[in-house]
Amino acid sequence: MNRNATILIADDDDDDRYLLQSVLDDCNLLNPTVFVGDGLELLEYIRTDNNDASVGLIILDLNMPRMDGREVLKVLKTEPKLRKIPVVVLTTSKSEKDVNQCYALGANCYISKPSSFDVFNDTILTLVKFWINLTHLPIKPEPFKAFY
Amino acid sequence: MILRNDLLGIFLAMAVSLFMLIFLSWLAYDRVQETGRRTESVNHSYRVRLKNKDLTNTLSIIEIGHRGYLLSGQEKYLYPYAEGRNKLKKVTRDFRLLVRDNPLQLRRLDTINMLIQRHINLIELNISRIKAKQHFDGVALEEGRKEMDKIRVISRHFEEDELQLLNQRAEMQKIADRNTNFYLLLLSVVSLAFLLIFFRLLYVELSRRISFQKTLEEKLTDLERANAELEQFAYVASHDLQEPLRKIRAFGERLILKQYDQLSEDGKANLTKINQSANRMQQLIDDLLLFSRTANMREKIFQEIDLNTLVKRIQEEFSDTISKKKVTIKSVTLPVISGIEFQIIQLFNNLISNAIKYSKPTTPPVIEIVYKQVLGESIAGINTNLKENIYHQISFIDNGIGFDPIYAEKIFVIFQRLHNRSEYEGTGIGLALCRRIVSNHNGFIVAEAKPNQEGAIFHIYLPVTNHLAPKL
Repeated sequence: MNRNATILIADDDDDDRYLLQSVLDDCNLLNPTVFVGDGLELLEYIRTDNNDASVGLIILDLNMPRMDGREVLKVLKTEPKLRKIPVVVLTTSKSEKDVNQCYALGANCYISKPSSFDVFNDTILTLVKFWINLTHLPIKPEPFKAFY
Repeated sequence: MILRNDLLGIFLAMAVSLFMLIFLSWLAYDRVQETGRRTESVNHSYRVRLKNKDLTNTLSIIEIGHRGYLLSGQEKYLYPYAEGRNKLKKVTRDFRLLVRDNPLQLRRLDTINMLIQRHINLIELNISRIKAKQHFDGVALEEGRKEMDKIRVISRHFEEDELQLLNQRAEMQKIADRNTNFYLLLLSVVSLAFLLIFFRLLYVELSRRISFQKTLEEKLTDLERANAELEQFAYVASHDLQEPLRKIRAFGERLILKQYDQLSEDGKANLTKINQSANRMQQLIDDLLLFSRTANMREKIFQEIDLNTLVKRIQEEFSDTISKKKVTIKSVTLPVISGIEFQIIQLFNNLISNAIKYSKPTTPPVIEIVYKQVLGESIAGINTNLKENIYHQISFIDNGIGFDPIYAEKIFVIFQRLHNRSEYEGTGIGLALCRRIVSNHNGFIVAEAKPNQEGAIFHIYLPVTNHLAPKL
């Protein structure tokens, strides 16, 4: 992941977008965030994006109109070009069935939409750090602002 | 139909029908026997008449034989005479046997016998005179003839009487035959009537049951629908209701995190209240969901559960609290029961944690778990048809704050609390859940307050043989 890689967030709920943006702002990441409203928009964005490595992390809601999170996940994890992008499923559902299904489809992380964002912050920061380390292993990672 | 609501009616009709059938068979048998008896008595009359003729014939042979001898003096005439006399003995003996049941005829026969004897004596007298080459005694002969006439008269009377008797008997037999036919017909009709009544009883009972079954099936459909609605409700509660609540909590938290310092004291207090209420709402929804999930018995498997192991596990789970609050848990040997494991764990968990939670602040909690088997009749308010069943009675006795006995039922109502939230926290789901679990296992739970607020006792009753695996 390029340190300026985009964090792509698919969520149709305006309130949640607002909350998420404000939480991500708190993390002080340098990465730009892009919001899309459903699965089709997400795929459209990711395919028309000229820069290969531009999307570094996808945060995905499950229940969306037109194309929901599960379908997107299936497409993302079966396309060789896209499958390396880490996907965090962020949804209200706490059901075991959904969790298992998402992991089976290839999700890298599953987080129930929290009412407290402390845990969420930590998770996002850990993920970003991990993926940067993983994809840049030969290169010394530049420290993020968030981790000093 | 007084007995309509009871199987007794059917049994009664069955018994009566059976009785009628036996009676009918007996009567038919008796009638046939009776006809046989009547035929027999008609035959008897014929035999008597024949014997009577036989007697007169024999006497005629004797008469002819001895007269021939008297007139001719030839010995050859004495053969039929001797033969007649021989036969006479047998005939009179047989005759006697035939009429021994008829005193009048018997008297007549006696007279005839006496006359015959006298006649024979006269004959013998004359025969001996001829043998001695004397002339026969004409007077004796005349006497003999008279005797013979008398015999003939009596014999005719005999015959007439017997004929009359025969006619009578024939007539009686005709009547008896007619009666037999009538009785058989009557009984057949009565039996048929009973059969119809019996059929009607059965029919009524059966239709009642069929309609009852229909109602039952309708109720079952309603129940299934209600269950489906409950599930729908649970889904709505878990998703749609929680969504705005989650946002309230999330925005509230953001507000506290970002702008708390800028708020006035009043604003801070209000914000805290909003957050507390939202958290409590979340707790209530979670509990409600837990409750409705417990109510839904689908896919729950009954299995063998060793309650001793279970209590040990819970003790380990509570070990922190137990050492902190100096809790003593004493348990006798408990049975192995059949149940839904996670529900039984929840049940014991709730009861033990309740006992710890509602302990007196000054006394360390002591929880005793005792066990015995009891009959259903010892459970208050139990259904009559369950009174014979055997139950495991497991009682949780504590030394806590107890409760007012008037609330013994109320404490099992969902979200019902006896204490202020500031004294004892909780949503009031625990005991409601216990009752739910116990009734899932076809059992009962009863709360009992010890006098003088010395603690509470919770009795749970689980059927010893839990055949009723969850349905639906």
